Amino acid sequence: MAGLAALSLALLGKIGYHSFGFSRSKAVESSMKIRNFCIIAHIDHGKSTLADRILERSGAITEREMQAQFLDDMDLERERGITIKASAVSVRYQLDGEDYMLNLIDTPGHVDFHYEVAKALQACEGALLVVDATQGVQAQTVANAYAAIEAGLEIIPVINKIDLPSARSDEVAEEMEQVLGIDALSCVRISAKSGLGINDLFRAICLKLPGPKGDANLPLQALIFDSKYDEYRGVIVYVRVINGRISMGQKIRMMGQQRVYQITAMGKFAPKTTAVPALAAGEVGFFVANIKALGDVTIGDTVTDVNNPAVEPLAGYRPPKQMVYCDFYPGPDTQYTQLREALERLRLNDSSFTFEPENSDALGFGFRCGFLGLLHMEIVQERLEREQKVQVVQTAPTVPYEVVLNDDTVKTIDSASELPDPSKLKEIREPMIRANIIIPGENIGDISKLCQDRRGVYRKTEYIGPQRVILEYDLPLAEVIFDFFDRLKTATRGYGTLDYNFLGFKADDLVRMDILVNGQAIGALSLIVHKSKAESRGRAIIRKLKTEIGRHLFEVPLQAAIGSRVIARETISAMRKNVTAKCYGGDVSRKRKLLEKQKEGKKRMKQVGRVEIPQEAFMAVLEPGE
Amino acid sequence: MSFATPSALHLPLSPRAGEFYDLPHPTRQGAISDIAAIYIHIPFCTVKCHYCDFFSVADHLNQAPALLTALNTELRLQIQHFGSINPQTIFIGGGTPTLLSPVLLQNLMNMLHQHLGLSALNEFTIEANPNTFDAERAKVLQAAGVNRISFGAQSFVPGELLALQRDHNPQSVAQAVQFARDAGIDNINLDLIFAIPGQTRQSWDYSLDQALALSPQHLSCYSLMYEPNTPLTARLKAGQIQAAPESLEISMVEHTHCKLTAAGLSRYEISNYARPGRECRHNLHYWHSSNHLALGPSAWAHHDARRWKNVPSINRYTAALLADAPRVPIVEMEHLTAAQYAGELAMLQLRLRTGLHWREFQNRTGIDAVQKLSQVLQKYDGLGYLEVSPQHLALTNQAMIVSDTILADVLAAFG
Repeated sequence: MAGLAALSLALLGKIGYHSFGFSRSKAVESSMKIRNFCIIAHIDHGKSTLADRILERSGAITEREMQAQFLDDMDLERERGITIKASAVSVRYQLDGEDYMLNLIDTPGHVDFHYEVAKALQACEGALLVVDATQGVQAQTVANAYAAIEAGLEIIPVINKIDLPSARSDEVAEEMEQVLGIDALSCVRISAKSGLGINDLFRAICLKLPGPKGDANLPLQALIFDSKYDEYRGVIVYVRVINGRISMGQKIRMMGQQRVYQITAMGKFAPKTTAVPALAAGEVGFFVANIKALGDVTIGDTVTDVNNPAVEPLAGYRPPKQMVYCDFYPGPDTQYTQLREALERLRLNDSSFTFEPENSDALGFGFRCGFLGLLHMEIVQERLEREQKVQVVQTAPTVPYEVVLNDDTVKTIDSASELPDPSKLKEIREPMIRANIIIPGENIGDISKLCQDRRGVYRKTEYIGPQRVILEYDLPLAEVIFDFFDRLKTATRGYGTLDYNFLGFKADDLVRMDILVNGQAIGALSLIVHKSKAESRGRAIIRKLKTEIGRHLFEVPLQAAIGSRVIARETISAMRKNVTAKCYGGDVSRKRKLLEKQKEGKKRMKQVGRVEIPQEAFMAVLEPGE
Repeated sequence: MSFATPSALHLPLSPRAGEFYDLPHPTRQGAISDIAAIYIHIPFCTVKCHYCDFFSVADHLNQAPALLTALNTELRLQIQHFGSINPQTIFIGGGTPTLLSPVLLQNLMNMLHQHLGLSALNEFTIEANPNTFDAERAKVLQAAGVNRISFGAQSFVPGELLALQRDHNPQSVAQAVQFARDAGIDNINLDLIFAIPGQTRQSWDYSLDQALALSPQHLSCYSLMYEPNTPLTARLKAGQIQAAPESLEISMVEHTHCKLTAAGLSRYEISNYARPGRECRHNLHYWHSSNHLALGPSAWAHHDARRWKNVPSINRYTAALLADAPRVPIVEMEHLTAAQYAGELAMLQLRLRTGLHWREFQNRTGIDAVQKLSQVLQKYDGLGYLEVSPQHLALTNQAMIVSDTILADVLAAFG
């Protein structure tokens, strides 16, 4: 059955490719004015709804075709055979007798994808900065708005949801002026849901945003701002042509990756896939070039012509950098090879995480995985379980460290077990971030204390409106990935938001702490910790272990140690009685099942020496030290 | 013997709703079955004791004649299926079998004599409540070949009996034992319970003294178990009673062992003590996983890696067997894999002080236990819990009180 299904799917894919093909359209008329823009918004502030409204009001899709949140939907059915999520849509609009081509470029919305956002911004000349009239400015809005301003984009401030009873549009306009230096009077007030104010917004887009610069006669320079993996076509590359022209059949070179391909298909999303023979300077679209894996394409790379190459690539190319690491081990009903295949499949459409085989004495065979951030880690884990149907045991997240050896060589390590012998170490450096935390004014005390407890260095406080402030702190990333979001949310009853930028590595008084169970160090529980925090963290970890590890027939000492110095200790008392008094003919079956249940529990345990440690115990390092 | 294949493990051939499993086909065909033991469950009691989770009902004695008729039919069907049966042991348990009137007891005895071959029989036990036993019943039983009586004495302290909701008084035990001996039944077991709420070490010692004064051949000393869905457990959860402190219970176990050993009764199983040669042979069949049939409502049988259970309802049991097309009303059926069978055999044999004999174990299961258990042996090496020789493996006396922990490891080792 499975084979048949796969076959028919493959056929469908082929048929789909040829018969649906791409509907033909002429290249953009030269008379047409182009506006390339993106929407910047905090989650739930209405980005998707606004995108839908723009598509609908421009007539790009009919009302019958209109389905909520066209841009944001991954459902195959809804995409009518287009198995890719549109990251850029082109729509036409007429204003005062002029024809405009509006290219809406999607940006990833969350804190871990700064780099991707920055690249998408570079593909635009303008940005709609959308703020919810009931919620006001949030940390990510600020971060992305600054990024847009830095990239030289023209900003159109938009206040959305103005028709809600709890809307406080004037206040929010003031906030935008105060925080972002945008004229409060220039805000376009809309309701993306009802369409209220949308025509004003179109007017602003057409008249306020500049058209693309660039020269179609120069050698090709196209910026890759996104890529998607399609099962039948391979990688679909989204580009913004800066200079020159890219056309069907052209031989191209990725200037960063130094790979050469030939374009086999290209087009735009209008919003249906529409084939075009070429894209000229200023235009946005996609191409397919028989590229097998997402890893072969790097966001931010420059595409040029093989025969008539540009002298240099566009500025700003760098590969994604993993800042949070954890181990994934196969869960109870998952095999190692299943997990590996799942990771490989997932990497086909998310090239920004890494994985390497890992062998832990405690947890067996698994993978050390690197992510752009904490949220990225959670997304990958969820996709593994939901899409790939594998069970994953995840260890506590850690950050990479730079270690400087006595001979001044610098090495990056991503787990405590890689730490060289202390006698060979000159210093350990940890990653630092600059955090912008937007909170209600009444929480300044709590959050300042939280930041100071986390070794934060205060930089400044800014008021946005009467009730809210931005706190700026420099913090060690390790302190932020550990229980920081939860505490921020709890202390601010969910109102606090956080955004951060990576600053670099900084040396501090960091030590390796080992956790010993029955005298034996558990590698998976070792961690790098600031000396001032070692004792409280150590105590919290072994307290947690005490609740997770069952009683054995002997006492089990638990210790936290720095080198040979024990800084915390607990003991699990011995099991003294565990017996079934009666076991006769009628009891055998039930008794065996009871023991089998214990046995199933044992399967999920790792034997370390004589001690059985449940997998949950390996999350003990997440226990807060306070 | 044929084992279930592991893939079939979760796919039992379950009957349709309201129907019953078929008896498993005997693996060895022949006129004479290989059944070593017969258990018969008589589910009647005068009151239901608060700790008891056996299937028994109070005040339904009027159903006894129908039950005996149904038992007769079940026995007939079993023999039709398995061939003639010459058990080495018979055990009539309950419930309180001696609640049956002497006439009904006689009927039950006649039925067994009529259907079973008794030439190999070497132990015939019946359970009795001290206050439902008398000279007349003793005589009926002795005449039918019963040679062992197991009395539920539990405690000799009235307050402790009350805590358990036992309906006899301590004096009735001596009286009942005397009836048995007078009738010529000299193999006597007393069941005792310790770690009863409110019990002290002294009062437990007193009960042991009283029991020993009756010179029993066998003593079963159970620590009180709080079984799910019993009134006692409900009272414990409601905070009306307090379980005995662990340290007290442990000291009672140790005291029991010392005292009974000194009195000439040796511990041959976790909770069982006997004079030499007086170990309960019927129960030894359970602990060696011999084939045995079990008749009556809720009774569990075992035959060649299959275990099955009759319906736990007097009405449904009698209805099925008194129907025009009578059926043995089997409601649970297990077919063990080789690994399960081996694990179970080890779990049972290790309850015994004699333990598990490597070679016999391999002969019966086809599995090399020395190799399978090597990690377990290593884990417990030097801790004083395991007695290991080239011939056998056994739990030490010290290990018995934590046997479930060790047995879970053993079971896990067989996979």
